[in-house]
Amino acid sequence: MQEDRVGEKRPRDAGTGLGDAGEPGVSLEPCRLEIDGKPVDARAGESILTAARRAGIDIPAMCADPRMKPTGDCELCNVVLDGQADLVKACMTLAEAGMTVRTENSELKALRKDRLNTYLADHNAYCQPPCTAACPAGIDIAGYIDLILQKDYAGSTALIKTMLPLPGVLGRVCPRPCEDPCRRIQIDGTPVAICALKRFAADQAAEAGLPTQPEPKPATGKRVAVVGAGPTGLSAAYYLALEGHKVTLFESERKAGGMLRFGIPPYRLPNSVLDQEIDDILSLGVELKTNQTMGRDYQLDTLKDRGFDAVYLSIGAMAAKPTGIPGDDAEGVMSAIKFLADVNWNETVDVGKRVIVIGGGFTAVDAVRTARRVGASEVTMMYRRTRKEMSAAAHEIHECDAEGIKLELLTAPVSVKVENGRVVGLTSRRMELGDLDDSGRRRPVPIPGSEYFTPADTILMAIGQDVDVASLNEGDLGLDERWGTIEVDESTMMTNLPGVFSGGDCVTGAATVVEGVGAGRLGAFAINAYLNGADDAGIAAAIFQHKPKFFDIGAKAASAAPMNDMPVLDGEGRLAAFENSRHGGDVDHDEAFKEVEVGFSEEVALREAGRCLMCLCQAAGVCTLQSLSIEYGAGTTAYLGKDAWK
Amino acid sequence: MNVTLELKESEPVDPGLAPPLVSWPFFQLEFEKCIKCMQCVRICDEVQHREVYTVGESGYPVLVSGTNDFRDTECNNCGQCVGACPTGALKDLSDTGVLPKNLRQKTTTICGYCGVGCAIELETEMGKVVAVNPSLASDANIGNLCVKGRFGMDFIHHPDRLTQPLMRRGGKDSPLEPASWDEAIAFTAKRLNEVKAKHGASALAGLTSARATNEDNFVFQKMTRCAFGTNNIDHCARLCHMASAVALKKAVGSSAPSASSPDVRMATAFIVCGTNTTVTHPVISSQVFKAKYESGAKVVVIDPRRIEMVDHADVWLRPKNGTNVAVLNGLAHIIWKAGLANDAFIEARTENWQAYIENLEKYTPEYVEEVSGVPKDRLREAALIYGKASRGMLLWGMGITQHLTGVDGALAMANLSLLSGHVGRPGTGFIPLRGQSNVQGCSDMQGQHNNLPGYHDIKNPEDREKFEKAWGVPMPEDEYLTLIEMEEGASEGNIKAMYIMGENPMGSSPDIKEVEHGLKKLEFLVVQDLFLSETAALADVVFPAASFAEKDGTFTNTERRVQLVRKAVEPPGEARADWEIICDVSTAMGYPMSYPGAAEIMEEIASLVPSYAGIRHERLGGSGLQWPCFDTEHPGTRFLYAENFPTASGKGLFHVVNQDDAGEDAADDRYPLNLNTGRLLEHYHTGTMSRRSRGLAHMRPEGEVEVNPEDARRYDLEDGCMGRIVTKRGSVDVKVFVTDKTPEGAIFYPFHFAEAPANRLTSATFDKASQTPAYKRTAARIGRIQKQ
Repeated sequence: MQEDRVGEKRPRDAGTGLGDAGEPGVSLEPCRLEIDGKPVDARAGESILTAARRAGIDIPAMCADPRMKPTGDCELCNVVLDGQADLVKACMTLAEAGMTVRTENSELKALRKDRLNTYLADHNAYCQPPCTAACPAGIDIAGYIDLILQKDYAGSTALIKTMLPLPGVLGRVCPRPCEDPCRRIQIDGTPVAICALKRFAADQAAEAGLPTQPEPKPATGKRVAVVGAGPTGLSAAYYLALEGHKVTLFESERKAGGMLRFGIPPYRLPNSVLDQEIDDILSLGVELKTNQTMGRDYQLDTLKDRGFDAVYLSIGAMAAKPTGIPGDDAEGVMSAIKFLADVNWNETVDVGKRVIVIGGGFTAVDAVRTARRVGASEVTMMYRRTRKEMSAAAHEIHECDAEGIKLELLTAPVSVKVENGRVVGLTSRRMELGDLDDSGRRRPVPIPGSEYFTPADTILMAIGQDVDVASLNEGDLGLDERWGTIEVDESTMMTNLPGVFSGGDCVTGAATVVEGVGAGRLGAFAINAYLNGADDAGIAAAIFQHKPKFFDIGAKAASAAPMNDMPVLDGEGRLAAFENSRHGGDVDHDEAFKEVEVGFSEEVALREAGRCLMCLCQAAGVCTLQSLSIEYGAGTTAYLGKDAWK
Repeated sequence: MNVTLELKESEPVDPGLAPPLVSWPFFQLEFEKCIKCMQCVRICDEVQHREVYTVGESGYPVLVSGTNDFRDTECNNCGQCVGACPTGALKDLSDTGVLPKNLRQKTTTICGYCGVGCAIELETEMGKVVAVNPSLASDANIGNLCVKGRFGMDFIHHPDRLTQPLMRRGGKDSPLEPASWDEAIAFTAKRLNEVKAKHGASALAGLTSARATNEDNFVFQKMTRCAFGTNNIDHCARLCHMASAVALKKAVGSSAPSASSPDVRMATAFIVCGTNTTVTHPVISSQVFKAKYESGAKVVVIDPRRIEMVDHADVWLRPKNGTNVAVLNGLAHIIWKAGLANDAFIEARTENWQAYIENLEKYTPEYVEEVSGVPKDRLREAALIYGKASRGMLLWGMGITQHLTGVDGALAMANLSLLSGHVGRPGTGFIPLRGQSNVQGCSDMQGQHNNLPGYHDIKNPEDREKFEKAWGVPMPEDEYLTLIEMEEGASEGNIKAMYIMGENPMGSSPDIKEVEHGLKKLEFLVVQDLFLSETAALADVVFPAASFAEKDGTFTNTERRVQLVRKAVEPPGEARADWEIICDVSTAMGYPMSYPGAAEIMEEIASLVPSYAGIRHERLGGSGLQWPCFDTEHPGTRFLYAENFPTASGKGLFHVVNQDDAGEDAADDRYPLNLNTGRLLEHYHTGTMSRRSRGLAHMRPEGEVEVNPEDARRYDLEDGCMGRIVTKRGSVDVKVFVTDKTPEGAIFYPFHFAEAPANRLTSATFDKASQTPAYKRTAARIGRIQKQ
């Protein structure tokens, strides 16, 4: 007799498990009820919650676990049962034939939100770090800070480099959008010094000479031309090379670096740091061709004929915006960008004693501070709004004060006064703030009759930059006529020309270094997908950026500990060095151009890293508390006693 | 920004900011994310029934030890609390992923460890398994998992994994060198064919694997019969439950467990005999707890060791090792004499009652106490619990089978079930708990006692014809050899070549010195495995196989539940699914086999095995299907024998069994102790997988021999000292663990540790009817190793 003849009579009922539900107390007697207007078949003896879940109706519940007896403690599964005055708990109420259940109404919503807020008051943690979400490069910030705490500085730098190949550079010059939403602000008013810690890790790894870059993947045999070796192009080249592609960087200047090299002065970013990180990228087998200008030395449309399978345009936004004020063509008036470049290329620059810089952004700040270092003693920064609206970083504006730079706020230029073809001063006008403009800032409005004159030897214009589209000699390349930028399909980063991608300032208009580096990395992923034969959807998937949903829950910490200040060169020493200025000429060896920010010591760095709240949760995305809090709009800082979290 | 919250270093720490509770390297509880919902406390208490958590004064969960280390409590790292936590407060430290969980790929599949067949969800990222979640998909585990299932999967990506075929090009003494698949397969086929030509097909033998899928096993036995041309095929069920299979076949007509997990949850009385369930089948034990603590079921434990289940027992019987039959007959005697025998059931559904009770007469409580040492009052209490129950359930394991009288023990269990009529109804029955993920399916596919798939009789002309027609070759006519006989045959020179798939007899078979001798004598040995096991190291060709996470297929668990194993990641390097390798070897040997995928193999199985006739991969979502499943509409069968038994008469057969202490390597003056072998919670089989899991290896880095405090005094041993266990077969040096878990006169040593293998000590004596080795009793002595 064989085993498969078990139950030869083919029991239809007993034995198949259909005769009973397999759980004590639950029978298979069908019972039909109505939940949210939908008929639902339940088994007699099971709860409304179980029946609803099987029917695909989601009743919120936090404590109902099929492995345990229900208690209803979380109170989220309360529902309205027709004919019953009080709410009932769906997990503990057995389904009965003819019941009519409603799972959502305004009362239930309010009740659930209230319950969730009670939970959140005890939940002193956060799902996904707001800093990482705010970082245009998406760096795992909590991750690298954690590695710093473990004193694994090379590991920390390697982790940063998975998203950003220039950690030493960005650790010095990044405008730090990550620090604004830092939850540490809720505890002691200051964020974690995320950027300074990045610099610390990178400097430590570089000093120790430890490897921080992975081995590139095996060569694919594909070739990519990257046009423009600024932060975006360098970043694209790095990630393309890691994927195994052969990259050639075309750079119109003598050296790679773009704005990093001639837009940022060496007292903020020493050339040695920049050179080292560029060398690291080139060490992956990236070929750099300098003094190669597109339209002059080669053409966009001939790159394909030269064996390149894809092209990445990252030419930046290098042309200074014209000011349009009378007299701006006089000798002694120049763009701040040109001025900074000249100094950085070690040209001797004589700006005289009195310099006015017009603008309130990074370039303006760089220009005034550089002007001090090439011998100007009376340097004025003129900005038409207030300190608050300046886009330069607060700590840099603070350094301007330390270096004896005068800020003329709420002031706008009217005309340049010219004598014998040379500038002698500037007529300006006072402003006041009016209504909000498109950028969300209050619009400056001239005060009639407030014009006044300031004598000056040199006037530097730092009011923004445009893409130098003329230099492109672009042919068929599609441009955005309104902004004068290169036009791309945002989801794929591809231009109208197949295989030609673009990103960074030349697409977005002048933006920050970190945005450019982020665009370079995504561009590399887009090109890699393209080279692997992906269609538009595939390319879009390769560069899709998941943005987590946030909600506001407040923070507390074991102890208060405000941010550690970045140590800087002593102000008097600096001023003394300015006195001995050699008017540029050799910035790498000029005491006046010595790096101002000294960097954290290990002790300070570890203390600072310890301030990080590690807003990073393994359960993010699958956490019931998170999803329900977002759904019901819960989130509270009420227990903090004030509205601390903006 | 102004600061209103002022905290100073000296202030007492807010309990929500206290340091975490750590169960290194498995999980930790981080208070800042805790919302005091107490789900962790509850699941540990209400499902696992362990004293780990309590609620602290602050309202947060704390450990009963008052410390921050779970090691100070009863915690055994099952991680159920991690699965129950609605937030991220309980953090899985074994999670190696970087993406947020909702962005990872997830694959629902079946755990590759024991025979419970828990549904799990593998989270993968960049082609790697980075975390394991419990899955609510299956009734087998309803979301419960143990430490191996949740934290023991890192062996999948262990650097020791074999990634390319290896072979000895220059004969036995040459090294194992990497080879291409083409070369290794051609070489294997050529050598196997040479042995076959020279010594005949019966000189070949195959060992298949209870850890491979049904599809792998089906294809393997097909190769053995069609390409090798021999019936010499067996697998490790021989070493564990063959005694149960033989006994059940005799008593109720089928070797299969009769009941299911839902029946376990519904039962009102249990006899748990010779199974350390919380260790070997933790998720089944939690379902016994559910029946006990939620519905008031009573639990009788019969075990010489003070196992954990004893803490949950209403009655614990602690017989002398090897007196199972007397105790079980004693229980039957009391039930019968108390008038609790189910007369209607006996009358309608059984045979041989009269002969049975005549023999039972002498098993009075007094006699049983004398033989087994179990007090008669205790015995009576236990008998009444089972006899009076409305739904009785029997669970047993190796404590019944691994004796010289293994079949008798299992028959005595079956007798109890028939006597009380506790079979064929919801919540009743018996489950010999299967040890490996697919040991049931492996038996179904390849059979035992010379059966074709689906237990077709190879001596029955009709059955032979069915398979000859399907496979196009005559079925072999040679007498089969069992695993033990194959090993002996290799030593004696009758077996010349072996093909071993996913099996490690160099760790699992008794008396491995002899096994090694035999395997080394073979002219040709092929081993197919995930790792270079002790057995693979002796092979002439080693094929790298895909793990359960890297292939599709099915496992049949200990409740006959056929469940879908799904591919979550690619195999490492050039490793391939077992069935693919076998098809290529068979084809190269001259019997072509090829299938587009595992689903098509299942279709062939369904066409030949009536109890699998309705099983198709696409039908196996959710809880899978329990065989018999006769057609593609059939819902499967949760429990067997509702109406009849598949015996010749359709009735259950009582068997007269007697306590027969066959001596089985009995203790004497030189070897005064009984060595008992078994398993640990953290490890599995010979440890090839579990010892390559960081967490499991951390918990149990080495084997320890359990010694009763009395014996420890007698033999000058103390906790933590090194001892040497000596038997007639050999000796091993191990750390001593002094505990009253093991009774006086007996020592217990687990068999997972290759560097000090338990089976260097055991003897190849076995139950005559089933050839299951008597691992549970080896005469031994133990002495302290003096420090140099």
